[in-house]
Amino acid sequence: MERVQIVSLLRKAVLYALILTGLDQIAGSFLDVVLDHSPDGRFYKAKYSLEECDEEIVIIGDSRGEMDYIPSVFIDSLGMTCWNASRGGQGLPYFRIMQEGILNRYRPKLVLFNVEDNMLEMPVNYERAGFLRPFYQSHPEIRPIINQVSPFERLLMQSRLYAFNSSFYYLFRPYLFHNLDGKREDLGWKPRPGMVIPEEEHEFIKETALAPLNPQSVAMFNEFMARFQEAGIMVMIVTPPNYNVQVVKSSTDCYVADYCQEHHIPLFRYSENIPLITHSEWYGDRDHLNPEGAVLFTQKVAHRIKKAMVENDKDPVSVIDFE
Amino acid sequence: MLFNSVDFGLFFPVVFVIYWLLANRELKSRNAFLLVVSYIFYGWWDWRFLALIAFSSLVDYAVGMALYQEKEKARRNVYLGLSIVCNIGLLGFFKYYNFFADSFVDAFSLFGKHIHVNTLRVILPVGISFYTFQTMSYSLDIYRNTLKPTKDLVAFLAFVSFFPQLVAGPIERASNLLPQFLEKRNFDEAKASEGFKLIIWGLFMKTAVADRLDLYVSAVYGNVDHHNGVTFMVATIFFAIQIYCDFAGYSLIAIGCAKTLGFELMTNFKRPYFAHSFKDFWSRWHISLSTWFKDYVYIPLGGSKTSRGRTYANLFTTFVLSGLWHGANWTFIIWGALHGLFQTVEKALQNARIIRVPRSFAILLVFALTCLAWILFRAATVQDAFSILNVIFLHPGHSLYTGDLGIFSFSLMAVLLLGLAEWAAEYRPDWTLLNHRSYAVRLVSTSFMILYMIGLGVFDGSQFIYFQF
Repeated sequence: MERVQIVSLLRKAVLYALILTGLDQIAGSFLDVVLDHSPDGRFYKAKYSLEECDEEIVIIGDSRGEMDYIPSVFIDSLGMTCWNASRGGQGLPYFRIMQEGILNRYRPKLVLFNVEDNMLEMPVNYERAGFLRPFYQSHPEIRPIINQVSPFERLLMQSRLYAFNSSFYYLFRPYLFHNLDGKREDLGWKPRPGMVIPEEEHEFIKETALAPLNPQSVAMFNEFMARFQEAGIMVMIVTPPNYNVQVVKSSTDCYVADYCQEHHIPLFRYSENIPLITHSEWYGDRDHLNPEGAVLFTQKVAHRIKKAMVENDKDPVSVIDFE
Repeated sequence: MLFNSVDFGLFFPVVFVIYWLLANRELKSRNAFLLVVSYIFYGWWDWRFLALIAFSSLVDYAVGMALYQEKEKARRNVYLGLSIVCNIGLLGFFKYYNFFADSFVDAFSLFGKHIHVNTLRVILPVGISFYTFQTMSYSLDIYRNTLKPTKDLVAFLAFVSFFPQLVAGPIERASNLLPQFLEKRNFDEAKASEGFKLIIWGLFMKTAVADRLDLYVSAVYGNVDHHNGVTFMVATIFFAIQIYCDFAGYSLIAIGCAKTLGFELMTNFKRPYFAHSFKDFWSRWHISLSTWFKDYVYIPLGGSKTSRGRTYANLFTTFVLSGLWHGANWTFIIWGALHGLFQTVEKALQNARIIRVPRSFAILLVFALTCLAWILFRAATVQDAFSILNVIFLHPGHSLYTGDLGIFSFSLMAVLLLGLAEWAAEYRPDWTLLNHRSYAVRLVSTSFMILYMIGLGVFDGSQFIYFQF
């Protein structure tokens, strides 16, 4: 009698699991359609970066990468097509995923890599790249990185609904509010309007502290750079400016400078460029340039790229640009 | 092994099937099986700590037998003392030694004396505060002649190490749980289904509410100097809900797992934020611990059957000790003292019959003061806690930090869903969806909850907060 009851319960459990699996598939399929038709926003940009982009210049970075570099300025200045694949709040895992997705399809001529002054001191945060889970099944090349998001990721990714875990807000938002992450024709650039008000709280800070490097971040940075070098792609690194924060020396800066010198990679350091970092009218907030500042900054970077490409001038410090 | 891990997701179904289908139906073999799987469960963290739980269990098994046979009071006191010394000794060594050593050094340095005391580099064994209290209660009950000891060593070891409630409670009394190990257990499909529903609801509370809220709470409490009072108020309310869902979620999973195996564990939470007094709050929050302290500390101290002043002192002392039980840090001691103070003042006001307030206002007041005390519980240091209190009361500000809007909006949604479910359970039990009389409603609501967890749960393998205690 007891055995019959247990077998009956197990049978019901299996049946229920099958129903749930069906519901999961239906929900996942619906969300796939929503993603595929995204009018703009972060999922549109991620899909374009991983599946469609074929531009000659690709910009990779975080929010400063996304807001400070305007592809259309590069197009006008350099005569090369350009796509900004940066994403706010992201770090090395996202950069690696973009890299794998892009290299799987084509070889851009130039990758412009935006490096934050403390990027290699911070621990690697895989969770933030979790929003790229919807691309897990269709992009096997990004799976090893997504699998690091949590210890159970490989198993959880069997669910189609889980692929959209916690992503609904940003998945549906573009349908209600357009262009919050930039217009399609901006080619990945997200403008940061407004102007920072020079107040007491924005007093000038000179950052010279040397925090220890995070070995995992360093290893991931090395892997990122090595993958592009193996693929024969030219990489240039830019350290972006922050309003009234002069990064004279950070562990990341030192490491990146040594790396660039050793591997003959152009490095443009704007994080210690006094004329640039003290102009409040160029900043939307302390960390990001507004459109006016972004145009000026992108023009300067384009000029440095031109020099580096044409004249083979790889002088790593470009502090003179804004004097 | 965490309840919200894949490891446990594989472990438990295997245990369930073997336990009911394959294990010999004799009581002894089922108990032996439970003992083995419980030790595997505990050893998953660190097998070396199995020696501690075995030691604690064997001491109380032997003490229980000796207490039962001994009639002379002095000797009985010695036996009981042995149990208390061994259990509190384990706790003291692993949990409190460094705290007292550091506090000792700090106290001397206040008077300009700098002394050196060696501290220990030991890991706190998971669940030590729970199982030591459980085994101690066994000896205490036999000492008070309210329980007879068992001769069945396997059943006793299985009772102490019973995996569903081993590491974070409920802290079971031997008088409730031990007899269940000595009686034949038959499979009951209705009970098993009920158990699985409790597991699902517990997982929902943990992954979809507690861990979701933690993303915001940690972002705020992790940057004490960067937020205003409004933000800390919201983060503290979120933390109040987070810790409730984290711990009550664990308890529900534990109760549910035990139920599927034919055991009934005690209820540990009864919607504490609907409490209209602090006395009511503590009859709804971590019930197994509060009744433990009531039975083994408050009443032996004299309880309320003594002078008013002494009663207040007993109450206060019990809560300070309860705070210390939670963790070796002054933040927990002050948290306990605050609750002791709230209860004492409440009792004094009741005795004086000074004020009467509407029930809804009382619920809000108790919640607000509970949140105030949670600041001490959540802050890393006493200094941080006072900085936060300072900001809340003196620099509230007017802008709210929301962080990532996706995280914040789903946190609010989780709070809303939980609030509705709790409200229904408190005031309209027939409206609770998981226990609805209609099969279709139960099926749809269970499915919704599972899909909600998949879509909006947080699966980062985070520990339960009470594991650290």
